[in-house]
Amino acid sequence: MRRKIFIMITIAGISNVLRAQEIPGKLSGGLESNNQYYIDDKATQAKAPRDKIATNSYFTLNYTLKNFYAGVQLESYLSSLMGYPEGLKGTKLTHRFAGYRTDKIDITAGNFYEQYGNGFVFRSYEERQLGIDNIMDGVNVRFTPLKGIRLKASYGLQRVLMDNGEGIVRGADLELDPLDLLKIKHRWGVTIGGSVVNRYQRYTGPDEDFPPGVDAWSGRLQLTHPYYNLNMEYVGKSADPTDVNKNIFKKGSLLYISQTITTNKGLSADIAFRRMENMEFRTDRTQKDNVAVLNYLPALTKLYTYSLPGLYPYAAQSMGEIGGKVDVFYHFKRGSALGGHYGTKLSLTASMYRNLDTARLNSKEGFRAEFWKLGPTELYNDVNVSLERRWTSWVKTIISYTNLRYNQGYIQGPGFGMVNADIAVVDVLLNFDRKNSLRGEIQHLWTVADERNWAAVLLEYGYAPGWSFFAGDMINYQSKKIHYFSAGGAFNYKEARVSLSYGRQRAGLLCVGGICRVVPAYSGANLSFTYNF
Amino acid sequence: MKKKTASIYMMVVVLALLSVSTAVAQGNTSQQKLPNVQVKDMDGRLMNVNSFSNGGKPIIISFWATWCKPCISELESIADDYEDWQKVAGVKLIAISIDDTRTNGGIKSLVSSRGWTYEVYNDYNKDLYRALGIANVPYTIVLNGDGKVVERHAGYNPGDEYRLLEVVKKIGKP
Repeated sequence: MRRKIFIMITIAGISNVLRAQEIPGKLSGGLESNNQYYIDDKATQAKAPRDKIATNSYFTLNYTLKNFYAGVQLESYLSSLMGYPEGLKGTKLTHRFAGYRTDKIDITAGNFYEQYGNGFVFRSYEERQLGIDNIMDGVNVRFTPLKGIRLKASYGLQRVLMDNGEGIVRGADLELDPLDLLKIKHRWGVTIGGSVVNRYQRYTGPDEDFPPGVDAWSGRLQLTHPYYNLNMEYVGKSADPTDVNKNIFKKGSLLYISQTITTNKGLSADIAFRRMENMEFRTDRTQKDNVAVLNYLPALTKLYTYSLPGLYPYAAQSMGEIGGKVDVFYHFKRGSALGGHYGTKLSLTASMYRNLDTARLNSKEGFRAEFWKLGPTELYNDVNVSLERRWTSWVKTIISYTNLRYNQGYIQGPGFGMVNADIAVVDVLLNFDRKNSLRGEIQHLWTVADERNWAAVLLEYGYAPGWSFFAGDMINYQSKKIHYFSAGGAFNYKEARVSLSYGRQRAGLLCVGGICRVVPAYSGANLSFTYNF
Repeated sequence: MKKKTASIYMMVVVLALLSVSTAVAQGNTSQQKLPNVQVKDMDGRLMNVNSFSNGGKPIIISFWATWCKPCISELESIADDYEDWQKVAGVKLIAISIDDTRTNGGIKSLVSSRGWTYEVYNDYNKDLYRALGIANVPYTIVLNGDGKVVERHAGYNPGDEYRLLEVVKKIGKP
């Protein structure tokens, strides 16, 4: 209590000083507040929690003075929104840090976010919509002694829910540009890099061979050219028995190869391949879901923005997965036969993931997997074609067709089967004038599995610069016949945004950036506010 | 009871912080420069954000992502008239994507096929996004010729680009 009073006095003091005179340095930050009012809903069997009002709020404040910087974040879950991890509750100053930054060195003490390479061995980041914030608490150094040499070293504990976890993390990452170092000028750029990360968590169980420390290391190569990019990374990981992998002593590995090819003719493509086994890496071996995760293993598939293809989102299978994705983009030029007056954009995406070809072992290893072999089980497959075309100055359309195969039983759990679905979307935007616009979406999903066919419509009216309103509905008209309707509006004024909506949320997987969390069904009103400075 | 008073105190702290920040923000908005954070260019090289320059002319910074439809709408509608904008206001647009490993392999191919001539960077772990306190994309910032933030705008409605052009025209004038 004494500490809180102290904080208040300090803040009051600072604020008086601030009002009295021009402060040196810069302040920036933001406030985000999401409020939900829940109601009972018989149709979806959504039950309001005891506390019908839930609020998640985040307030960040960053201060910079020349090379010095510092910041705090305050979070409050009173009560927390449904579907967030149960441990997120109460109000707390979750981040506080200070640092010193020049062109050569950047040292942070306290909380920091960091990513090594592609993040497969180490990434601390925040995704508020998913309730993920695995920020570190310790010391982070980024050192650039010469142009072409970048070194990172990190040390600390990881945030687990509202406190620091018990796993100790230390790691380092080195990145070199050999051509720069040798002062060779070339159209190609080459970068090589490597990381090591160690996590230690005390073990008090009976197994004498049990490893309390787990190491992960990675090597990577990047080639760049005006028309070509290659990004490769290989990761190895020592035995890491956890509750999730049933305490097997299997080593982990991951191979990632991503390539981008572009031309100046409007045609370009990117291709990614990834194979991984037993790659889950946590600071706390007893946690599950998105809690205490130390690395980043997103699903490498197209991120669908329409609601019906989003019903079946793939989630990466860190225990074993092999597959890849291809995107092809083509721009039919203005004036060409297919381009029309304004040009037409075509995008083609396909992805395919399978499990690994494994054999069960009786030893502590648990299983053995062939490296270059696809497994027998199909996990996910999709093909998407989208055409975007502006017809006149005021009409623009996007037409999209998707076929997906989603192994619901494997991804979401037993009791489900394979879903094979076709989805068509028509999206029309009308710009009546410089202020008024109307956008409509019609979607249909065909499948004989799960909840069978779906239909969805959405209307969105915009009045620039400030206002927008929407109303939509989505129905599984061959099975439960539930209308998932929603309607609302938003107001933007400069850096502030307020939105209010009312409707039904379907139970299922909510995915942001390829990481998913399970959300329960709920109904009610939502009020959100964001502001930054 | 103790818990309740604690949370009341916390609320007071939040309010105090907020009032401080808004007071400061009001007095200071016109003086803010971008923080000294690094983003990656399309060749994967790190670049200091405070080295962005346009020879004393205004800069528009647009935060976007390959999976964000309104972001692409906004950048597409500006792309149609970008040459005019450059002529009229001398403005340069810098598009900073917040795609992470899941989707950042597609930034270069998407930009190239759409023929965007913007400078494009990747804020791959949202360092800049967070330093500026941004909550969602699309988000647009306008810098004047001295690199100071003169305008911020959250979200995108079709038609917002005309207002944006008005803003840069006004500050582009000598």
